[in-house]
Amino acid sequence: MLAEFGHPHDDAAATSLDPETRGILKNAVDEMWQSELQLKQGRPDLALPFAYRALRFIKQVQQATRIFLSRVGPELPPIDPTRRMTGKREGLGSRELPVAPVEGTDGVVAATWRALGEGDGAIRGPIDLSGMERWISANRDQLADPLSLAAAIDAVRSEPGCRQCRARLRGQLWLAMERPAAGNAPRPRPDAAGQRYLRLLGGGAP
Amino acid sequence: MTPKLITVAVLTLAVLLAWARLFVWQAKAGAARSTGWRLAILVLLQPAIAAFLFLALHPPAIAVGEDTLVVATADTPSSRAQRPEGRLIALPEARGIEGAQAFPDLGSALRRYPTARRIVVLGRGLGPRDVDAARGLSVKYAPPPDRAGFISTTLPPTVAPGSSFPITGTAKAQQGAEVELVDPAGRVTDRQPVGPDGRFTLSGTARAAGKVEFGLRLRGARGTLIEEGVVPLAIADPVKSRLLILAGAPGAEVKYLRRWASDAGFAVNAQISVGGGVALGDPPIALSADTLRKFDVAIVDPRAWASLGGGRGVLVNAVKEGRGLLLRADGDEESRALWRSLGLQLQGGGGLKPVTLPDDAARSTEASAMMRTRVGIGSRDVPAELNVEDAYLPEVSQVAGTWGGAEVVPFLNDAAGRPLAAWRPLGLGRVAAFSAVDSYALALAGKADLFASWWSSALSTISRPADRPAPFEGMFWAGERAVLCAPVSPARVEQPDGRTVDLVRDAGSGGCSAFWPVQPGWHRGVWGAGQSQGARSFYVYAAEAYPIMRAMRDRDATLRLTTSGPAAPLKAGEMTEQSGSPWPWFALLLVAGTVLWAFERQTIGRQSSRKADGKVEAL
Repeated sequence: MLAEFGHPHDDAAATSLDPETRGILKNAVDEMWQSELQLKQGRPDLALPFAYRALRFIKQVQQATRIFLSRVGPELPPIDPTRRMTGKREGLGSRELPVAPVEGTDGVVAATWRALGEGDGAIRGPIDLSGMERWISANRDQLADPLSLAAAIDAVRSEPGCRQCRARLRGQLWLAMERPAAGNAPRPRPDAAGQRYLRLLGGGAP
Repeated sequence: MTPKLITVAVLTLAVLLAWARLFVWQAKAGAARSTGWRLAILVLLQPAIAAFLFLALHPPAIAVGEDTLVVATADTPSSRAQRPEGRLIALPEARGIEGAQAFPDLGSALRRYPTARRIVVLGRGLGPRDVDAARGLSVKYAPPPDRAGFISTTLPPTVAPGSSFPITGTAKAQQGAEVELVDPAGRVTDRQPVGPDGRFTLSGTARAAGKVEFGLRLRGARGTLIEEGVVPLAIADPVKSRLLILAGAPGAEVKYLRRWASDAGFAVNAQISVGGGVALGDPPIALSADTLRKFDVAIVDPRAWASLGGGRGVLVNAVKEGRGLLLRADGDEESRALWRSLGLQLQGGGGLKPVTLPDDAARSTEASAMMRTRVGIGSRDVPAELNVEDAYLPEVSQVAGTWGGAEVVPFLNDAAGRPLAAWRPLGLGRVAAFSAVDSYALALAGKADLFASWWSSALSTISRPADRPAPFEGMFWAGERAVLCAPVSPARVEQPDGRTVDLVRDAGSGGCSAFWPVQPGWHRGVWGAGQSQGARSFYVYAAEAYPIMRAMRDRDATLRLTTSGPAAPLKAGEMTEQSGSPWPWFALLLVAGTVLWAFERQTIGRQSSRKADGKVEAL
């Protein structure tokens, strides 16, 4: 009945507050009444102190509902240096991350081949061979012996420092490289003396 | 305090003590005292003995004149037979030489014996470390008999990716010997007999740009392996060259040239005239010095040349500034006249003759296998095996005749060894004539690699030089001094393991630096800084690689020393001092000691000896 026709007054936020807060709010309402009394009598100057008091009570309640925490840093337990490096260290070791060969215009096989050799593009540490493996799976039917190539890749991956394994893989990659159309290989430029000689031969000024 | 001074001090003290003893005892002896002459002898003999003892301990130096050094180098027989007279010294390469004084190098030996003016070299000869030290001396050297092996190899200075490259060289071997080129995968890719003069020519095919090592084997008549070596090649990064094609008429040759050049990385500009002022191909360009400066090489046919007019002079001037000009054949008489006008004489003959192509049908199975090693992996559209088994030979012809002229260099041989092209220098550039008229048939008949090889070789020979520095001259072995010469003396060398060695730069060396390689493999010499920085890769052979070639180099260098003039005479101040023998002085000491002892024992010269009782008191 009550729920249907009446309306409860105790479900508002104000009624769920603790008695102490409610008391302060009550004081605030009292002060507001006094303030309104003076306003209705046409004396706003006398209403102002009551209004200020009411505001102070309301602020009091507002601040009481906040939780204030002190500003402090993380309080971690101090480090005990005597316990350092005393745990189990089996299977731990430094690890060198593999470097992926930089692919030029001539494909991943040539890039890997250069990475395994000496000179420009060479990678002396572990080499990331995943690109090469993707290429093998895509071009399996073009290769005469894809299994040997895969075996050589495995050997290099498991022993990155094995020079013999790298040389074997490099030899296998030679079989997987395409031969581009032969282009231009210009001769080296003659030095200053050579150029002067050629000009003089042609009858020109040196 | 040197030992000599200590000896002098001790001996002086001993002499003084001996004299004091003499005089004290002389005073005490009373009646038995010596006469004046006896005392004088005894007094004088003390310093004499001391002097002999000193000379026996420190024999005086004697001056020595000219000296002959007998230098044992590598492979010197350890037997003493037939070894010439002289001071025998052994360099580190000589092993098991008895009675030889070991020296780290010839320079050290010559500093030890500065009077040496003649050296007799035994064994293989003086290496690069010692050759400079032996200059100015009279060198006598009888080289040992040659052994079988590689004497020299000549590698191409630059190899383009995918191109076919020649390896020439000489080897000393018996009749019927063969050389093999082994590709990096370990397959024999070419096999050729060694000629009667020891020369051989092999060819291989490159793949992608990078450093690659082929193998070289020398086999005897029965297939026995005589020597094995490595052929290091630096496949150059592809260069984007600009090619101008001027054609007087459209045709299959121009079409396939354009296709190949585009595939091979050229930036092609083709101007094909079809008559009546109509041209096909790329957007037309005006032939001027400025536009031609953008091109590296031009291919012109006789019809286009005839229609060029004033453009001919511009084209020739561009060649004189360093560009290349290739004149294509377009029939018979016109081509000959054009070539002649540019100094390329094709003498004799007349008309066209067929070009000999490699006959694939006559190949054995082994040769077919070698052929397969020369092609790369195929693609889904063109399998690698597609053209290898194809026996069809297209007909390709060339303008007949032989190239003549002092400056004309024929090149690009066909399968029968006849040159297909010739070039001559023109200013800084080169002009060439290509005598094959229908090479496109190769591209049509599945021999695109031969077509590419011909044109790549022709254009590479004449094209404008690249801005790459020339390679370091010479071959370098690990453990041996290497001299690297560049426009600026190289400042550092990057070794195969990635470590860098800083080189000492000598201002007076004329752009050369010395480097002592330790590890075999590809090194990189770097010079200059900033804009003028340059680098060049070079290969260092293992210490044991090509021993015959190295021996021949040392032998030749030592033989050149023997032909240089007589040795400079010894200067007066250069006489060396050698410590003398102590034994004569020791003998004198012994004699003087004996005399003194005997004299002291005798009574001769004593006052008491004259007495009748003969009682002698010892002094």
